[in-house]
Amino acid sequence: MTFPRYVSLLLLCAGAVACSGSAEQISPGGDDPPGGDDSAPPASSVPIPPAPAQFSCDANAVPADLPLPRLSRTQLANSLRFAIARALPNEADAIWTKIEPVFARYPTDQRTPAPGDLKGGYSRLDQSIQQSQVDVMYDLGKTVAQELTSSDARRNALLGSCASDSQTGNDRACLETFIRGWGSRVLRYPLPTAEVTVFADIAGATPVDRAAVADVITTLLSSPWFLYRVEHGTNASQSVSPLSAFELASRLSYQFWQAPPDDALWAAATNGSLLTASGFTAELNRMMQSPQLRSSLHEFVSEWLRLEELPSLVALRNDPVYQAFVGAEMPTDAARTAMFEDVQLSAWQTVVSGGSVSDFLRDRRSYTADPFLASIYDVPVWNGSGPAPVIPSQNRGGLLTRAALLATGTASTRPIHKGYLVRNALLCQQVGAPPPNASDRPPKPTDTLTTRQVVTQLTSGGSCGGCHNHTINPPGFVLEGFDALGRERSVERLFDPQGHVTTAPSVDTVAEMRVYDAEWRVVSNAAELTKMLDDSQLFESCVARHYFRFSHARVESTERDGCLLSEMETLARSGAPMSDMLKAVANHPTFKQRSFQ
Amino acid sequence: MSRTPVFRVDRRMFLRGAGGAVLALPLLPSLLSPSEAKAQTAQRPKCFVHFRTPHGAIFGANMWPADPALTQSLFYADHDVRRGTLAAPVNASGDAVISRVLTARSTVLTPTLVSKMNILRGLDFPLYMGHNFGAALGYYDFDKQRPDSPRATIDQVMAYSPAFYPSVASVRNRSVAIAASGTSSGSWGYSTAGVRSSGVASSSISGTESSLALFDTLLAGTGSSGSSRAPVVDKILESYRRLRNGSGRLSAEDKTRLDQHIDAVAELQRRLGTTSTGCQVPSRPTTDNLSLRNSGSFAGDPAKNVEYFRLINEVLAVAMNCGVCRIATISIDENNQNLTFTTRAPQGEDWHNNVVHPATVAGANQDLVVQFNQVFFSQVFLDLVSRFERFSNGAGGTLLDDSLVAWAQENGNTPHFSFSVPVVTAGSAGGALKAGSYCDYRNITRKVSGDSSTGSEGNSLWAGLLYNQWLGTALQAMGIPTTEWSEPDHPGYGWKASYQSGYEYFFTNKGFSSAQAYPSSMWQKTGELLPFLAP
Repeated sequence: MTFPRYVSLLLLCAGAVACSGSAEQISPGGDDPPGGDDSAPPASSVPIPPAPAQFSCDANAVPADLPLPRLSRTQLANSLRFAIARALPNEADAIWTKIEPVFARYPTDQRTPAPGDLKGGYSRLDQSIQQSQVDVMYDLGKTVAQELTSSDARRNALLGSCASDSQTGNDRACLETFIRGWGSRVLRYPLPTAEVTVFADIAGATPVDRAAVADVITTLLSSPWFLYRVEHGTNASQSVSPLSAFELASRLSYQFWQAPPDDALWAAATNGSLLTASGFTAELNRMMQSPQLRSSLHEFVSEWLRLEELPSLVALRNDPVYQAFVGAEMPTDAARTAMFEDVQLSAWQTVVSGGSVSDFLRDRRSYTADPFLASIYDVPVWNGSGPAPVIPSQNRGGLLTRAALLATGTASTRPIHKGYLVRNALLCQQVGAPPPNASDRPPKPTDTLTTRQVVTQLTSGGSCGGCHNHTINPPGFVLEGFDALGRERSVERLFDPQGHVTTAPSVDTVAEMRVYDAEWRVVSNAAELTKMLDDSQLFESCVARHYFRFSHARVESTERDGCLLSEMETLARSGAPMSDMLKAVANHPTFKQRSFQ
Repeated sequence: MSRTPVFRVDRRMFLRGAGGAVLALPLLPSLLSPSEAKAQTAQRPKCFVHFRTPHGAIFGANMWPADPALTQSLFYADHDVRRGTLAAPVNASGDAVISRVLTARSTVLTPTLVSKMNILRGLDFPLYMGHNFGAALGYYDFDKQRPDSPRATIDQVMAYSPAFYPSVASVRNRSVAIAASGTSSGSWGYSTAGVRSSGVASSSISGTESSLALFDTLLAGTGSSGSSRAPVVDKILESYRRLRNGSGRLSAEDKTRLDQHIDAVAELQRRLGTTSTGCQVPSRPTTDNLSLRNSGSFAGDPAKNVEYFRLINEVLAVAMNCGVCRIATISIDENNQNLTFTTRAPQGEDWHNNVVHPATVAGANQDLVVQFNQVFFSQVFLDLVSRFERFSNGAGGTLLDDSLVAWAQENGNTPHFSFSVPVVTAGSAGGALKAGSYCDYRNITRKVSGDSSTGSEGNSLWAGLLYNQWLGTALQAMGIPTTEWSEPDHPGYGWKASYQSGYEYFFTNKGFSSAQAYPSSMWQKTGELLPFLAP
């Protein structure tokens, strides 16, 4: 039997370095099931008991607050669009089109996963302050200002008739009215008179001159109240202070909508109802039911699962093996996008339908209007209204079997990659770094060996087996029932380099898998794997952990943040609506206060 | 090869193509007035430009001249290091050849230029890193993760050093980082720019990719809108100070962040107030490299890949000659920039997975890696070097003579390995460095263990000197006092890292340890110029 060069290479090197598996819930390394080789793990029909809760609450712990939170790039874009729309609603889209080239220069937030993770890593966590941000923001402010004041008509639309009448004595008041109105909404708090004066003074002796108004707008848009969420609190004597109504409104809107407060939320802050329990709940519920929630929910799901790592489905279109693997119809870039959206929409539909975190994991509906993806799922396309079609195959177990998590852009699957995704992103179990001699080339089947066989040859020997045999590989092997486009399969077609099928052995999807501690099971398909993850409730705990990171723009401290994490975990595990877990962030007392410690 | 006109030709500037290289001369020295030339003579500013290419993975035999080129030997630190005079004999095809990779048309890689270059072999990152973006500049990131002990990269140490910029009156940007969106620039500053005690920032310096944006930032005129109103940046600064010092409650960390932002606005204010006297700024380019990159035929077209960087080089050369910016770092990423300088498109991770990694054995994949780097060297690196060479420094030399242009790579001669990371330089930094050498710092008695994943090249790995010393050499060449960058535990620059225990086998398999390969005596040398480079 001839192995590919790298297979034999890695077999030779595998013993050189310890494959140091470690995980939060599973012990490091270990090759063998508990009880030794003689005790076979039970079948998956024996339910996995829930893992111990991952978080606990210390009522005396005080969570840290993110200092002077900077708007993420997405939030900044939404805030600029909001500012433009409030100024010139009928021309907002056209103006934004002109702004976009400048905005493109604004730095992209960098995503760094939590230590030990390779998945996750949220753009919100990038709170760095960079020279280029300041430079580009200045250009953005100027460009927006120039656009808003590019004609007398636009200036008049901004300021009203007082800017164009024959009187000059009212010009200053005219500008101040604009600042007090538009400026307050853009800066997200009612500007006190002194601030209005300071901003109006920028215009100098010609308050309604277009260039003067532009200067005022530029300054407003580059000010700290625009670029940051400034929170002073309302009690100067306590180390932890309640937020003002407007500070709370901004927290809410940026948390869930990634945008400034809308009119209703602003009104609730203005009339004080937002500071009442009922008023707050009403606003929170309204926001949770709004389509605008999708902005943050989609960003969360995409970044949590690193959906953008799905390779191009067309890059290898000229490769004979890929052509033969794909078949008559080559996927398009649209199909790749549809795969992302399928996952995002599953999360959205789960939230709006009152589904639980478990329902999201087990959701077997297809959310795509793309014919190629619909054909993979063997369902009709969905136009976005009405119930989405249910995927008929019982082997499709929900999230794990969505095409976005299965496709590779090549003719072969990536069991190691998928196994790692399950462990790290879905169970929050950390796996040690691979040794230096580990190839990160996706193992490829040969014309005689299946992907599973090649992966097993690659990883079962030496100390690598400690991590791979029972931690990384099994979830990936179970998902071998789906090919590299996410199509269900019972055989794996093997190709020669010219794309001719050499043989088509049956795929082996049975694996022994340790879920946590001494809990082992034999799993034979994706549906069983999904059930096992769900039964363990580690998936639910993991979602809570990741949503905490996303919502708080920082990595959790299990000591200081334990109370909220525990609450979110409990909700996630309880079968309560997933939206309740999201709302728990806002309903927790820490959301309405600011720590100045 | 595509020749995209960039700067509009006018009486004082022109663009021309010659031979294998585009030579843009927006400002000929002969066009300088006597007073302009005198001003340049007096200042003699230095420039630093650093290119980082991905992967490395070039076989030693393809990257370096043959061993007979090394004619001198010197015992240094704990072993013999070697040197030879750099030479590029011209072959029958008219190519000047230092090695397979270091080959260019003899009209470009001239004997004069060769005499101004150094090629440095045997510089090691002193830890296992896998992939990294910042290591070549001193941020020793382990597989693109934050290091245990991060350092600001040398470009940022320079950018905020008063020794490098005694005056910033005409400096638009202290430094620019060129990188694709989504790619770390590999350049890291301090949380508060220029303040070492504030710690290293949590994110790398944001990169710029667009050549047009680069032009606008560095060279476009200010106050050209016809408005008589002054920039409002001072009002913006006031708004931050008002919040910072006002009565509203803020935490200490809030104030620290405001201070950081205030510093950045002050830098913006300074930049907007600069004047580029003595420098003629060319017309705004008509083509952006991004539009080139976004064209459907970009990937897999080496000529267009080269043009993408030439559009950047053109702006950089003029800007540096004008003195509006004197530090630039260019981070190249085949994925996000969608280029390989070969006809094989990167296709996502395909280049990484299916070209570079299999390139550990001789054959078509190694040839592709060689082509990537040879085209980069001859048509991107040397393009910028040639532009620098054509600007007079007003003192009988060239801008290149007063500069240090360096090219470093992500890995050494095999993927994921940190031994012998190649460094190619041009310019002597105003005479601070001796040029014209092929230096080999490897300890040929310390052969380390590749392993079978390194293929045949695994037999060609040796420990050498510390990469830290190269970085310290660059800092010294640019005149940065050691007090601004030396370390408490060694006299040089950067983290005194050591090999992780899991990778110690590289050394122990050969009967010694990493500590023996990089002994204290070697670390004590890191504050010196690298051997053979002292003038």
